[in-house]
Amino acid sequence: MPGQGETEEDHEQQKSKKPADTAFKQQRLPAWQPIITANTALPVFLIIGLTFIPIGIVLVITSERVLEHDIDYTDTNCMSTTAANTTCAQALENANYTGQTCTCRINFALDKSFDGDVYFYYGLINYYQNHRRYVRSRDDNQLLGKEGAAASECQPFQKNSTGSGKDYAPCGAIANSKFNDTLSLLYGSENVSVTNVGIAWSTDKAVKFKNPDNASNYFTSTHDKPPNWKVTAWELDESTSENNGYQNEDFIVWMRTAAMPTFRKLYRKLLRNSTFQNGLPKGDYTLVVTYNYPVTSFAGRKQFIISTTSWMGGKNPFLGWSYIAVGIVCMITFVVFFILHKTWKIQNRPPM
Amino acid sequence: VSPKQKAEVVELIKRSTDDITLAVGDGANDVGMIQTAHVGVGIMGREGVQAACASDYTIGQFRFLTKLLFVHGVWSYRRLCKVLLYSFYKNICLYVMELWFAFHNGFSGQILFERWTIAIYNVLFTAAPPMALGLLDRCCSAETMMRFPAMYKMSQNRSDFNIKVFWTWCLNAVYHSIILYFMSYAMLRHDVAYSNGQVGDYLLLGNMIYTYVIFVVCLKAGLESDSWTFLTHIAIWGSIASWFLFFIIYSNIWPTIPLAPEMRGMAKYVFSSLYFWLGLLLIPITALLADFIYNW
Repeated sequence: MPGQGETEEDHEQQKSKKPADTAFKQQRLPAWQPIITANTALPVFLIIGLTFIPIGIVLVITSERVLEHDIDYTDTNCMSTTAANTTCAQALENANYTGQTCTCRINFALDKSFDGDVYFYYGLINYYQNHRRYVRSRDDNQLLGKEGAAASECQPFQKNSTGSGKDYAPCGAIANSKFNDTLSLLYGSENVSVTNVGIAWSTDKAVKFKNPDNASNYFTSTHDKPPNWKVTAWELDESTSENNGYQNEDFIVWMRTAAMPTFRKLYRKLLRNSTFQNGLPKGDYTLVVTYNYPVTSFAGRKQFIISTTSWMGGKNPFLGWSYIAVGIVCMITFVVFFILHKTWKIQNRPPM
Repeated sequence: VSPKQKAEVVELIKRSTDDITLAVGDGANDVGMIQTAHVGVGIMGREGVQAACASDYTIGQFRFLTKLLFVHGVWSYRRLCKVLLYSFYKNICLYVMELWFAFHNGFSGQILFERWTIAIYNVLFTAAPPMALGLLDRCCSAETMMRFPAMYKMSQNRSDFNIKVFWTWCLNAVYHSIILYFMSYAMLRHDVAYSNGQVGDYLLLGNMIYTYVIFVVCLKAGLESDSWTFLTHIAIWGSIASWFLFFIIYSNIWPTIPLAPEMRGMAKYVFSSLYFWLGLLLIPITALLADFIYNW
């Protein structure tokens, strides 16, 4: 018979098996039970609509204020100054891509002055920097200036196996395909002053890319330049000695592989002195291209882009129009459900 | 009645109907029946513990059976369904984006997000919301469920998890992934996300989208919750915070720790881009708008 036969220990043992009587263990936690009613949902839509539409308008206007001028210089625009009646693209093809150079001059006009800071980009179309085999073809340890063999991910641009047997510096397909056209602007006959400082991410330049010790020896004798490069990494910038090797800013910008097959990369920034103090004045310009980079074999296209920026960035009205669109949808939802709510309320009123 | 006969009765019902059977007993002679039934409930105490040991659920007294069924049974059914559907939803939402990205990278198999952020997605950033849904969510309080036993019916007609519901959630996940990916893609089409004219790379886009996904997925868990306890709040807001914290730390470890060179500097550049913040306000709200209306 239980009860009388239980000892103190049995009783305590049975007591200790019972779960604690806390709110958490007994599923009694206080909870907010949100039920979305018309009174809570309608204000939400109204608020969203009333905030998004003005934000969208501001963003669209901001984007409209950004000025941009694109010049596609892949083929027909860029006629060789040396060979008659051939485009630079054809000139490279005729020389079988053995590293020929072609120059061309393109005249264009800016019908509005580009006030403020002006940025120059090169744009590539149908260029898949986001291809998986391409993205992994790099050696970040080598880019830190560390000793050691180039990583195997860089293959087939790891070392010069047919020639000297030395490692490529920098190795990999991304480095090998570095953009090497030279683009400069003339305003009438005056050179447009530009700078190539500050085009790369500051963290990249400070932390991720470091030249090894004894850099000139490293780049010129102990390692080879990548097969598609005309000069070694140590000779990339003749005018500024710090801008060479792995720390060359054009190189760093190129190594940041773009997300989409149509992309642009920052090339130069306007130096605002003398004639260009306020930006690029309205008028006639000439783009001087040293055409080294062949893209026609894969139906790629090259562009030179002149753009100002806004407090947000470049010229892209998408975000502004999206805000407006979503705001309008919310307002319409608000109005529709408001009307439904009112009519339903009237219909459901109990008879007097 | 012998134990074997008790088990055979249950077996007969199981074979001749489509119903789920439950057997409750307290003695050693009930063990056979408890094990044969779909759900076996043992009563611990008067006649020993054999029945309790062999059962799926153990209760202290026979009268607790009503609470087990009408409160915990219904809660458990609804919670399990939500956790199941939500787990499919959050994974489809993130990983289908790799398919959309494949259209833009020549189907080369390049991933949009960094590999460890993908791996830790289920382990850390979206682990807490389904746990909150599964452990704490309830449509009504225990008293209400006991007072209106007819509410038990809502767990008896396959309403919370069936083929139609499952595919609706999957399509919902695909819809969210389309909005999240393509709106972010269009937002950063021209690459220049900074007033100083600099451009980003594929991971800049990837990390922005990843942040938006965490927001959408965690808030979706909140939208599906019928009751927000303080632990639910911690699960949802804490998950989002854990991603921000991880992101900041992860963006700063190379080259001190030889891991993730491609992430170096990401947090700084994502957070300093106004496109990111404006997109954060717009894109998750756009994704969840339809869900909000539907739940209403």
